[in-house]
This record gives sequence, C-alpha cells and structure tokens, in this order.
Amino acid sequence: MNTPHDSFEDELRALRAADPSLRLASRIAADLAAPPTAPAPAAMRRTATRAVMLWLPWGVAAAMTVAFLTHRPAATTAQAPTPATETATAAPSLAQDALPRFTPVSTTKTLVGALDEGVVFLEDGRPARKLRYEFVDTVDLLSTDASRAMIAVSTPREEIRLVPVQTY
Amino acid sequence: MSASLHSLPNGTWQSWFDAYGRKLLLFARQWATSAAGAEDLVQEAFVRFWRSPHRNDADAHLQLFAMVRRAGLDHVRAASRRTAREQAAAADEDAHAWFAPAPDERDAALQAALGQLPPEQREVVVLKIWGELTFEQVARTLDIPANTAASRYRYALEALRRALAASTP
Repeated sequence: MNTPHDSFEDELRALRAADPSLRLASRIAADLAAPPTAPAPAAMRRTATRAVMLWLPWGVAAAMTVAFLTHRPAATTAQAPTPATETATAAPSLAQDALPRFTPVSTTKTLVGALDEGVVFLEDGRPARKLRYEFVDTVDLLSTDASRAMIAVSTPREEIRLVPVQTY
Repeated sequence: MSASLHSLPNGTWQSWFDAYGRKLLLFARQWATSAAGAEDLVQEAFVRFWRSPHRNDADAHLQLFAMVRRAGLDHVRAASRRTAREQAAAADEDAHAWFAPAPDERDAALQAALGQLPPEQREVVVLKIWGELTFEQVARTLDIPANTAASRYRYALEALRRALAASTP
C-alpha cells in the first residue's frame, strides 16, 4: 500500500514541525494534576460551567434508557400466568445481560453560540443583562466487553445567564 | 519512535508528549487558525487521551491523533459562530508558523503550498509525512478506506509538486 521511496517526500519530511511551547506542557501538567473532571474544549475554556446544567440532560437520558430496557409490554405480562413468574422475571435479565454495557469515559462541553439579548429587569426591578449560551454536551461511552466499541452521545443545551448591571 | 512507545505501557505522559507533541500540534493546525488555538486543541485531546483507557491500546497513538482531529472538528463548528473580527485577527498570523523557520525560499514555497491543499488531502499528508503513519494507520485514524488515503496522498503530492514548479522560476 505504501508508495515507493520518493525524494520529494524526503524534501517534505525535512520541514520540521514547530515545537509546542513550554506553556502547553505546563498546562497539560496542570490539567493532569487536577482531579479527573471533564476537560473543557478550547471554545469553552474561559467560560464558567454549571455542573447541574451539564448532568441534568444525562440524568434524564439515563433514566429513559433504564425505563426502556426494563419496559415489558403489557401483552407479554398478561400472557405469563402466575406459575411462570420465575421465567418471566428471568427473561429480561437474560436480555439485559446480552446487551453490551457501556461506561462513560469522558465528557465534553462545546460552546456553539452566544447571544447577548440585552438588558432585562428582574422581579425586584434591578436591571440585568441576559446572555444566552448554546452548548453541545457530548459523552463518550466505552463498551466494557471485548469489542471496546465506543459511542458518543451529544445533546444540545441552552444556558441563560442574568448578569446584574449597574446604572449610573 | 512510535514502535518504541508502544512497548512502553508505563511511559509517562511527558514521554508521550515529547514524542508526539510536535506532530500533534502540526496536525491540530489543520483546524486552528492560530498557534494558540492549535495548542488548546492538543491540550484538550492529550488530557482526554491520557485519562482514557485507550492509552493502553496497541494503537494508542492513532487514538491520540483521532482525538485531536475530533477536538479540531468541534472547534471548527464552534468557530463558525465567531465574529468576523476574531476570525480576521486569527488569520493575521503567519501561515508558515506551522513549521520551524524555513531555511530557504523553496521550503517556504512548500509550506505555502501545503497550506493551499484541500483539507482532506492535507490531513493525509500531515499524518503520513510528519505523523509518520502508514496508509493503513492514516485510514484508521481518519476512518476512511486505505485506498482513499493513498489516493488523497498521491493527489496532494502532485498538487504540491505543481505549486512548487509554478513558484520557482
């Protein structure tokens, strides 16, 4: 598959990629020394995040997933007479065992848009600037079985911040 | 270099960074308009990589490149919403800063030609030449067939040769 040796490739190879700055290594060291929370993407790095806002959609998604996996149609339950209770309870268990299990390995929060909606007035009459941020939260899930399959689940999210302003 | 790192499952992050930092930074320049932006992408991807189970895989360095690429694509999507002023300021940076200072005009012309390649060809060239990956590894990193990687590489080299011929009297 690889091409034969080419002097033009050697010429390209002779171009030396620029070295990363010492600051980059320091930043990585600082990140790795910190507790293993999700690293914010570059676009988001300067923006404060709210953990509750981040995890709320995933909590809902997880609850929906559990509900979906444990749901049995009413017809199936009705057809299973009382003596077959053990069979009926074992079946979902087997089905769930057959499903690949995924564990979250990383999350990212990407700021995709920001909009200044101007000054609004709070209930107590104080003025505040209304800022609307649009994020896409992504969770990488890694299969715990031998396949090591990885899936990414992305969810859009909006965050509205009211920043008090002073008038003179 | 890559092979030796694969045999070092207990290598420190510094050893990985020493081996791949320059390559990752160059790769990240595909999506960042500034050196600082590229370093942000490398930082994000490297930290994610080091904390993920992938770093123990046999082809961990491919995951590292793939994570930089994904961070870059996310960055591009986010950057599409930025103001024209920010984009113009970023574009002012020297496009040749991808490499160490060029010793002569021909190298400078090569660098400029590389910047003019279509992105899908340029990323293949960067991974193949400066990332020191095989076509099979390039294909896995970019999630494309190996034949596609090879043909993009061939087209890219032809384009670079043409650009170089046109720029030199």
